[in-house]
Amino acid sequence: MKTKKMEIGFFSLTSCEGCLFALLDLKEKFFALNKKVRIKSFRLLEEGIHMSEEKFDIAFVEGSPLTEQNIEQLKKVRKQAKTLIAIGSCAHIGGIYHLKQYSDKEKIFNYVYSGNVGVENFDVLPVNKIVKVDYFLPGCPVNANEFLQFIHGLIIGKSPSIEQNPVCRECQIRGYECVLQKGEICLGPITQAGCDAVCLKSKQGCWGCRGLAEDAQIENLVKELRKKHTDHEIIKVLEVFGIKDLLN
Amino acid sequence: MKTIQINHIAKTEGHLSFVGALIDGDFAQARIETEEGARLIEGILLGRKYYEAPIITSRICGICPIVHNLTAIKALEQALNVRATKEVLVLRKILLLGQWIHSHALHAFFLSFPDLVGINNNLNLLKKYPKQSELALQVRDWAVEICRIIGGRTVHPINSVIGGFNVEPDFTELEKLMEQREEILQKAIKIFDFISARRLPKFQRPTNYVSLKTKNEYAYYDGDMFFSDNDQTVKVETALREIEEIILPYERVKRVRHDGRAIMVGALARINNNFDGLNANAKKSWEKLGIILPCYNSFYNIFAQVVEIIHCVEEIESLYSEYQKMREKSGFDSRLKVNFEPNPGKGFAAMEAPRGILYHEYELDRAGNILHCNIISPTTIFISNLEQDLEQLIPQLKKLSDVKKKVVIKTLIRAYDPCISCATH
Repeated sequence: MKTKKMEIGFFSLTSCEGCLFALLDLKEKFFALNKKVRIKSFRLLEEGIHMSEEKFDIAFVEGSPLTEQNIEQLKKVRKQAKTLIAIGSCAHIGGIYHLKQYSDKEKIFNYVYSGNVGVENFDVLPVNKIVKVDYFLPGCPVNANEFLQFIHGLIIGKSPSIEQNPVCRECQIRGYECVLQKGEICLGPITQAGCDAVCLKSKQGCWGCRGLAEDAQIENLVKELRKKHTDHEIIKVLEVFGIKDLLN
Repeated sequence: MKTIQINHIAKTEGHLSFVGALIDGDFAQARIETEEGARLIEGILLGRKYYEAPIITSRICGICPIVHNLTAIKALEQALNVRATKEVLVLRKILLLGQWIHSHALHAFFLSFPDLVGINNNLNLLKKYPKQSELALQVRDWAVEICRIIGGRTVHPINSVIGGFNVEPDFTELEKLMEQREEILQKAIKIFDFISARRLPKFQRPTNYVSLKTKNEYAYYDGDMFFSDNDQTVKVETALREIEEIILPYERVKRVRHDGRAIMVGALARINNNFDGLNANAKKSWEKLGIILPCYNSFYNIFAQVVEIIHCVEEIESLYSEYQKMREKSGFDSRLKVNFEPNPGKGFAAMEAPRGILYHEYELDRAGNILHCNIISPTTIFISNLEQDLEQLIPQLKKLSDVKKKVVIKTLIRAYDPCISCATH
């Protein structure tokens, strides 16, 4: 008996859309997905007209809700979807644009737009502050292979999970040089793995785009970092992707 | 007065809508509205360290993160008095050209070409033109791989930093990829022949075409700014001082004017201004169109992009052979990155992004904190020109049905390849 294909949609709020491009870069593997599920909404691929009563088995949402329209769309997608998955750092933990929250946001706005011009200056929030999120797929951008494993899990009815090791472990397995030992700031010991330690491959310390790992030993890392860096320097790096907000 | 509104135009980078009106038959108004929120990238960089800028600004755009990364690096290297080595420059150029190819291949074939054959959904495009889609995907994948090997990842580069590259791009991988370059070139030419057999809408509107220009090459990494309306080449810092960024009420995208006029940047502007610098196969392909330059039909931006894909593959070929020779010389490893200490200074840089001139400027204090940042993206520059094109196009469409009118309007908007994420930043 032929079962009905799962219907999935991809939705972008305000973002760079890099997560969508990371998925497209899966090439034939991404298009092959269409044999197993029905991709009903992917704005880079089609110009279909979507009805508001349309339903999705899974909705993937990326980006930050930064306009009235973004917030409305997010709430609407939540109603349309059985399962809502936040993908990428922005939707997961606030991401790069969330840096605004660590300064005077009015001042920053005026620096860019010089005064009140009727443009929104909302707080940059992860999507679960606005709607219920069923799963998160972290990363800036999302790791496309992890996305594939995740969705294939959902197709066969498995409740998917993300690897809960720290990036540090993935880095060591691959035998990359430890930048922390060289004296650089690296959040690898406390950041959730699943990225294949891709930054460390290029000798760039981890800045925590995937959020905190379970049971992250934050104090140990901070103690280590304080040997060579000021608190100000450490905090600045914790801010970039929003890890700082997760520490309390 | 008859208004035309198109909400949520798909198949563009970032979200936008169109609002237009035909007033008394021959006069129209047109406006592009962005639906992306303001991310205030320039503002959030204030007070942050100089080395964060290439990482943070690459998050402006997921399709062209490399050119933001490289332009930020080039501007910051000027501020920090860092001189990149020849080895670094060659790798950066290959990386940038890889960025052009994959961005153009996606846009020309998968976002704009469907408009020329009346297909709404790319999954149908793959079914109707499987062979050609496969060619376009193969060319794009080849370029995506270049970006992955040199940049460390396909989206948001990691390996490309101020001073050069953290690690040498895996040479075995690069070598294997480069073995395919002749094959990729032939595929790119086939795509051009296939796409350019389609008729583009008739349209003519001379405007001011602006691009970088250098004597040595089809400018993309370096050069002064060339303005076609007065035939002048001006230093980037002077040109940018003359450029006005205008903030309109309720508009998240600023508008750009030069001497009070809209300007056009991107593939068509570059071909109009720098045709002589194109490589042989690229030139030959454009000449098949039989169009006399300058070309004033903005729809031709689609064909211009495919010509540039051919040019880029040829250019990568010569850069790669230069790189191979450099790699053989002793001390190569040490020339992949220049060391430096932070110092106060100002820096600015312009590069040709796939969609046209991209400009970054920074000012740093003694400790390397960012005191000032300004970014002007190609879509910000050309959006006024697009609006003016639409104002001329709409009266020409009087006799068409509303549905057909909208199709032509969307075809023109997409032909420009607007990147609303970049424009809003």
